[in-house]
Amino acid sequence: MKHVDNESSSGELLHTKHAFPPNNLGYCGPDTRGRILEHLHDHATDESLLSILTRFEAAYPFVKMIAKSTGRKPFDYEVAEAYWIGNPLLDSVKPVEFYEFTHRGLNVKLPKKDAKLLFKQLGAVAKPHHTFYVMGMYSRPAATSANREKLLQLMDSCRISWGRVVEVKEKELVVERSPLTFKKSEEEHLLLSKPVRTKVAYDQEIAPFNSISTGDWVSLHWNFASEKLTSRQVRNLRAYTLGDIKATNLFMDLLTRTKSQL
Amino acid sequence: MCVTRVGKILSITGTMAKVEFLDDKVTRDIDVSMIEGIKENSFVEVFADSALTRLTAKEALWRKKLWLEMRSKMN
Repeated sequence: MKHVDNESSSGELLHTKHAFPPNNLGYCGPDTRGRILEHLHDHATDESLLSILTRFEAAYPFVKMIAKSTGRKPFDYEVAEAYWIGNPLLDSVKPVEFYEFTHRGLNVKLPKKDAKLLFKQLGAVAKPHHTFYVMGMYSRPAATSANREKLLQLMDSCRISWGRVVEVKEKELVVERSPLTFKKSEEEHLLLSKPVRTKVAYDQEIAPFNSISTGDWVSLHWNFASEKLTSRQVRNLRAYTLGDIKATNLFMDLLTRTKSQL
Repeated sequence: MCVTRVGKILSITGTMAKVEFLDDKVTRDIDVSMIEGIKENSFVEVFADSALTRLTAKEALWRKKLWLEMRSKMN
């Protein structure tokens, strides 16, 4: 294993930290959570970790597409950061490439030409950002209005969010975090609500959480603190998340309009 | 990150169902509270531990095919 001294040089570890929580819950990727955790505890990468990361069914195709579109490698730090947290690299991915990548997975039940037109209208608003992918769940037609809260909880847990640490416990952090909510209008648009205090799990053996303290900002995935964020990363995560919400609301409006015209 | 998978309902108890994933035949307990009138042998799209959408058999097989194609490209 290759120990990583310089965090900023390791896109592999940044990627692993964010891929680990859902893998640990058995939601995606190969059943190798023990080996992934070993790498995170050792703060080290090797070929076996890379092999594991390429077997994540959604995350890997996304970073591969971003890398291909921007002339980089899938686990370059900038690529992993773009996908999970967000950075201007996302703006370099051509909308047509993003469309070609996603159109088979669009669950919109429209003729291909209509789906293409719809995606064209989303244009530069939709980014290959993890949160935008997660919010695609919102377009599922069979989710009943009575259970929209459950859908909201799922999307809120699965997106990468951010929180400011207000208390450090042995196995938990208390953070201030803005949950996802609905605007109770006719269209039920998504938005972020005011920050609320919530408890999240963390692992002191995963660097840099052995030195986490109040006032720090962390990224969160499935109620687990994945990474300590710089102020630049917090700004980017917030900006790209708001962009994802705007794109999702626009997508739902366009979808409704397109369907009504068919 | 999570992916959506396709499964078949084997049995239902309240809002939970035992679902068999079509791609690897593994079974898992899934929350089906988001789908009204769900029945045994229905096909569903699953995200994390919840069923999102009911699928027709044709849609389910198409999604299973996509999933297996994606898996084979990754290996």
